[in-house]
Amino acid sequence: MIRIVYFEIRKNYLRSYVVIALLSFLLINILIIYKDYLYGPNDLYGYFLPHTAEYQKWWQSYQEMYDKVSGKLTADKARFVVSEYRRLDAMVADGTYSREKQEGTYTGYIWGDYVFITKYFYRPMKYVSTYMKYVSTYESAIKQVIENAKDNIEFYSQCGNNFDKSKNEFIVKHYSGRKIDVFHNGKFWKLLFEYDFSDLLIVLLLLLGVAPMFVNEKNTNMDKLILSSIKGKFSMTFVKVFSIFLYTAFLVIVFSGINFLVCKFLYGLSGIQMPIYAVEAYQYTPLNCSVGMFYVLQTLLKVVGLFVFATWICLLSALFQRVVYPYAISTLSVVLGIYASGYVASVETSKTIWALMSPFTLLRANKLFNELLGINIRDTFYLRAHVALIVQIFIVLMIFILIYMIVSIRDLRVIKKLITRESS
Amino acid sequence: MIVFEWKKVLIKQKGLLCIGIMFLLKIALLFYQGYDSNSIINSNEEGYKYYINLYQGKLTEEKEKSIKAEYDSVTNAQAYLEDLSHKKRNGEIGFKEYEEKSKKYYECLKNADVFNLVYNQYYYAKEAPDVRYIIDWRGWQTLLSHDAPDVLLIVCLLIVMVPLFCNEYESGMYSLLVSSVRGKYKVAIVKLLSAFVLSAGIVILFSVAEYICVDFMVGLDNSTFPLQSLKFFEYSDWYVSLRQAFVIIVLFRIVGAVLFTAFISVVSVISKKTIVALFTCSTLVFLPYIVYGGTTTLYYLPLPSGLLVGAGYLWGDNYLSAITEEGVDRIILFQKISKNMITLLMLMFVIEIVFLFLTCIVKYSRHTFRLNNFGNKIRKFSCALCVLTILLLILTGCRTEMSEKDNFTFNASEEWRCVKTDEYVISLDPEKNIITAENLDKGEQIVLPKDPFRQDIYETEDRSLKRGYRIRSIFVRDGWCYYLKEILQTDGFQIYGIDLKDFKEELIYNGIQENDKNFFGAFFDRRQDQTSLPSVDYFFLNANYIYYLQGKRLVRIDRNTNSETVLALDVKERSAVYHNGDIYYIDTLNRLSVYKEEDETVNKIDSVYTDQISIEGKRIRYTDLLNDKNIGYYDIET
Repeated sequence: MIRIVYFEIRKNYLRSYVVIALLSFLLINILIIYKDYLYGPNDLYGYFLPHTAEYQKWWQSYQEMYDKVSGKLTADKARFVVSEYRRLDAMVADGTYSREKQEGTYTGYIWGDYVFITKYFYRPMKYVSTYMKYVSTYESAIKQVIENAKDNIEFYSQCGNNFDKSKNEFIVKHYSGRKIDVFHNGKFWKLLFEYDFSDLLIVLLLLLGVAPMFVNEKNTNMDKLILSSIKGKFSMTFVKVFSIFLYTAFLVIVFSGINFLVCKFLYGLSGIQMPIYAVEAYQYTPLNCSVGMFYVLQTLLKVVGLFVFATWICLLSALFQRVVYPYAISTLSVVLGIYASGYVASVETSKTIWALMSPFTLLRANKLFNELLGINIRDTFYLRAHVALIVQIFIVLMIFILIYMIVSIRDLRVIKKLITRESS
Repeated sequence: MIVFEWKKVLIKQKGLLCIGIMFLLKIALLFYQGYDSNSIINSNEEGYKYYINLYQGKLTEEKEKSIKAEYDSVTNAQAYLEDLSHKKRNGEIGFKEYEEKSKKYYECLKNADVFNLVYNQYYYAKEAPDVRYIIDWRGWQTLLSHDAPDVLLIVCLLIVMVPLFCNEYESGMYSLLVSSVRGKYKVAIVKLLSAFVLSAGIVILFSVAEYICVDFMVGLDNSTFPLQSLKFFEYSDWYVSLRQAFVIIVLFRIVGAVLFTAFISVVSVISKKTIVALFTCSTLVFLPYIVYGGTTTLYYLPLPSGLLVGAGYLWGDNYLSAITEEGVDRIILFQKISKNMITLLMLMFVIEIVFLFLTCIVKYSRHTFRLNNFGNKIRKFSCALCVLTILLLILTGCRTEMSEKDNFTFNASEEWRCVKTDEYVISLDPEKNIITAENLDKGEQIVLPKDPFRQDIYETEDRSLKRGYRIRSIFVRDGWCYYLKEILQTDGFQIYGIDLKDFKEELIYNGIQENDKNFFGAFFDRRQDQTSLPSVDYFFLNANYIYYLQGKRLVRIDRNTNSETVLALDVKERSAVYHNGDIYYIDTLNRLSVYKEEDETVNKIDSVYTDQISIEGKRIRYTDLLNDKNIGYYDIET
């Protein structure tokens, strides 16, 4: 069996054009990440500044300050940031500060320093720190959420509302005991989680590798020979689908690994052990893992989602004689699937179901887990991510059965016709 | 020979069927996407069309005078109406005279919003009256100002053109063809020319479909007006008419399709595999949209992507302004391409097409039958894909169960924020943004909605993370409490219903655009509806419809189709009463008006002038402005 899998991989994926395309895409992927790093988003309200010569001093100052205050949170670090903030706030408050370039500043300008400290240190630290006494912190906010949820459990138990009761029980179970005692820049992690250009490249590579799978065998008349062998029917279908799984997993792991390494090299990505809810955009995530573990989870979900899509391409390949049709239909399916996945956070049940049926929804772990997204099934609360996973596993089993039926039963009929014709 | 090639491509290889399917999908998509518009125009299209018909075209002195006079009327309409009202109350003018004089100002008030849009157009046209005319911009803007890739056209071209050469190689016909008398060069030339003509034909077909569909949906009148009549083309260097602009874009697209076909042919001849040709050509055409979508760079690339869109070559500079901490800042989103540069680019594209054409013929005619020459094959594939790699490197409600009897009464002025039922007193606190249900028997207060992640718990200054909402109004009926929620920084609203038995919450209506997918950056919509509509004042609903009041607009939403119909544009604030299928309200002339659901008509009850109404049993209680504000009653049943 393993040998047959190896032969399938060699036949379909270890082709020169596939390897060259893969290497080209890896290079393009790295260049796109670097381009975004260099020039930043073209957005007036963007967080990230470009890494051009103009902002070199800024980034130097940022790195020095970040090295000073990042890591385990202490009262001294918080005190330092608060004192800097207050000093600069007092300077800019009345608007009479100097607009000229200044020595002894972080960015060269007083207003620049104020923005620098406020946006990149004071506000993010305020979010996590228990030492910032004057404003609400994450810990107290989440305690409030737990208290509200406990009140709701009691209330809904009395009303007989099982769904809302189970939802609030879920909240109490998963949001209790949260604490953040480190300070790292979560924005870079958010950038990594939301980077999806490599998904498109993987989709194109899947089209290249999987679309000709059955079509090639039909064109060379190998399909009838394979079917007539002992392991021709179920085993071969299983082997092909398994090889697709290995190919998909390989692509996703390689691209995810490259994305992580490149982002780590460019942005630093410190604090791999910090909890995912330490990233402000994920403050209400139902997960309690670290950012590193979340990235692994995201990768695994992508493997499942793209594997389902790849089996869909395989099904189309089994249906048609020419590769142009599975390719074109798969391309249109990508457009439709991506559009459907846009409704992953919809409040409407019908649109949510449509999103859950699209394999591309699993590529959006950042959206599935950045807030509590649930669905009501028989008066019980379930996470949409779990339901999406189960639905996709069911879909892939259905597709596998369909492929087997198309490959074996249709070709058996053809062989039967041939035998009948010859005997007559 | 060209006819034979077309027969082969269209009939034998089912190209005609594919084109037909893509064409139908294109039409369906065009109707689904709709056209560019504006929420104010959508709510009063009749008023907008009236003003456009009156003022469209080149600005003349007479037109300007008329617009300015209308502007005065609209601006002062409220004051004039109050003055007339005062005179009528004092007996200075009679009822008939009041009706005659007030009618004009009343219409002005009703159409004030749309007139202001037309006035803005006039203001814009005034700056350069020779090249800027007043026009209904919706249809032409839809046609000329979008730069999203036409995925269906690209897929159609791929399906039809890739098998042109690849089929010959994969079926083994190539060796037979190349050994015939005309097989070496003539066949290749004929194939390429037939493909070019066919691709041009497909582009024209899709463009005509676009034109016809947009014309059908919203109209494409005044095609001879200058391009700069559309504000989007304010800074454009192209002084052509709208129709000419569309023709120019179609010509660009034809060149793009021909270039794309040439690319497909070269890659097909080099790779000799359908899958490699499909993959390489779709990558070459789609990736630029994702990497450079919405920017000028897309149109400079030596690839068909920019040409297949075409519109960007006519655009002017496009800016994004915003208020930052340092004041008003502006970044350039799109830099216009000068005419000289376009000429150079077109020359480059033509040279490229000729080069690819010749390359294809040379490669096709030099193919050898060295079937076992593995090393040569590797070299050829590697060379072809290396060239491609280098090119790439250059680049970048559920509905609740309502009671069967649909008759009910709703007093907007009182019940939008406080209602008493048999069990509860339900009240909305707009400042705290909560609904309180006070149990009349037990005295306990229940705060709704019971969301543990309430927005007031944690405030963030990160604009991208703001997620608050405001509850604008409540409506209580048949044991359900409905509330209308507006989400901050989004258009539209949602209506939720809470069952007061078990406090289960259900979505009744969702009017918010939720799909956030931009296809990896390929679809970049820089235009947003800049008009900000006022918040919703109140709403009520029955089994079939949702009614809401927004500013002076009374709107009805069909719960089956989610389509909106504006019932009235002159409703006074919080003055509506719903009773058994009829909506009574006070219009801006203080007349009692009624909208009847059964025949969908609006009638004015001339005998009643009031500024306050409520319902008591089967009659309307009102303060009579014609009778010293004494209380009067209007019998509903008459």
